Amino acid sequence: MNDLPREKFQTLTEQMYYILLALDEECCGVDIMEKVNVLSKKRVSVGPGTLYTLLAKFVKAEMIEETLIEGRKKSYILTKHGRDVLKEEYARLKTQVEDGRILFEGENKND
Amino acid sequence: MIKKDGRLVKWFFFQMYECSRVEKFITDMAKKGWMLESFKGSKFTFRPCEPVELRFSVELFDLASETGVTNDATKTYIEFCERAGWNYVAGDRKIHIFSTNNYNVVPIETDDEITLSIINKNILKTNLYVWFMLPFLAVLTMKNNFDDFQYFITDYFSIALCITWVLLLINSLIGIINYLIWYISTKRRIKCGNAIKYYDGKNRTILMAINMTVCLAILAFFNIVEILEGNLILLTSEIVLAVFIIIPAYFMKRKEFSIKMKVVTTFLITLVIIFLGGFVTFMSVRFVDYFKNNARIIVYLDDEGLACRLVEKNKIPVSLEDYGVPPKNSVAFIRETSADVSATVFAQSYTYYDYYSMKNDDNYFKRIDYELFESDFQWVMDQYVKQCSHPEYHAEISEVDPTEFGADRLFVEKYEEDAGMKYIAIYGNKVFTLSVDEVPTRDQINLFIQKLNLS
Repeated sequence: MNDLPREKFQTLTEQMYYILLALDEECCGVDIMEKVNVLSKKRVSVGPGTLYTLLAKFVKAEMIEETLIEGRKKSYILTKHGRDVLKEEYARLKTQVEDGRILFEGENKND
Repeated sequence: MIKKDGRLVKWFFFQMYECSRVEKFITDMAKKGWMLESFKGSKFTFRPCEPVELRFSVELFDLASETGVTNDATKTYIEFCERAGWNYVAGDRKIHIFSTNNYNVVPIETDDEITLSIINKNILKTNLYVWFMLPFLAVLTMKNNFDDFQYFITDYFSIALCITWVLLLINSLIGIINYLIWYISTKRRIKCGNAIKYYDGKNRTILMAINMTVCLAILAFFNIVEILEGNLILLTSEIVLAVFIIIPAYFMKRKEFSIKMKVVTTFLITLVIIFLGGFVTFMSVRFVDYFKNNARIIVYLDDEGLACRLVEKNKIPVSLEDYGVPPKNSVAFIRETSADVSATVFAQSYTYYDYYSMKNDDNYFKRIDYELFESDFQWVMDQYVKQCSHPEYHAEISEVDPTEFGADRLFVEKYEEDAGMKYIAIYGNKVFTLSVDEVPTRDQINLFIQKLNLS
């Protein structure tokens, strides 16, 4: 059974995308939830359970790495591979937006 | 059940895909003034509190320890949840329960695909035995029973065990089908962008409860039949078991028992007694049979030293004397005579055996071995005849003219190296089987027909 929601992170869910964005700078695990909230202007929320599971999966996929371990308190940061995946996703989303823009601007012209 | 210290214990059976049922259960308890303090498996302990309306979340944390020890991952997970506004209530192995009075707090799991994959992984792991191994054992046991059809169909206890296995198999199937339906529909829901909806479990629980009750009733029925048929060992053992289990349960702790708990305990106790009683029956029937069917042993001194002989104990319709091969008169001989009857409403089986040999002459021995199987059910007869007409290992079987036996059909099974032969004669709803070393004469055959009312 494949337990990755998006196979090999080829496409990222919104929550995955914002977690990776939040880890562009080193950040403590529990602080990521708030950072995602801020980055998405409260549009996206990540539940603590989902965050914990995703962090473990990202570490396993070498997309993020642990930087500081103080007892059980861990901080994470994006790896080069993680940044590449994020960039790919950004490019994909940009293409989607661009395609949408062409369609809707065309519609506007017809109106 | 309210304990002496004022805590309340309740049993609540659930599967991992029924989290919302547990949430509803503990939310209702909190509203009634009972706050969840701890739980272990299906045993939930509550402490009294002011009635309160709380939002509970039952979570499956995949990285938690299987043994129940709170590992670092679990501690960090709890910290994450507490930071998000959830209060930790209790946990057992992979299941952890949180509560909050703030309805605006972000849910603990916000990715349903991840939640579903974790549930699926754990459901398969925890139900591996019940869903897959148990049905496998059930099929194997039933096949084994059918391989020895004569014994199976004439023994109430074997039939009861077989029915129990079938019911357990049905229970497993209900579990698997229910889960599969839930899994597929949930996967579809998530694909369509809808939130995960946990299984409400009522139908499955009711079906399984009915199934287990039927199972218990059948075992109880056959248990009573065994006792009525005179199995005193079973009766004694059950009385002893009842005294040792029921007395502590009812008299030592009776003040703590609610009526509902008493009903549940009675159910469980009965189940244990019946299962243990059943096991004792199984052993005792064989134990009693051994001594019942074997002759009394007499040890004595003769000219050659110490000798022993087994004295005939059972009366059988046709003995060696009746058959015309009377044993020689000697002081040192071995005689074994056995008559065994096993019967159910489905079929009756009579097995007779007479054996004689000389202690000082290895070449002199005589034997007759015959069985009568009767059933009013055509499918039972068909199954039995089908098994009879299959040759045993190192034997050849052929259908011959049945006139001599006055039967409808006659099979002769010949063993290799002159090891004797077996006649299988079918008379309507009766099957007569005769194993001998030499071909029987007309008179000998007629003797059986007459004594066993075969025609």
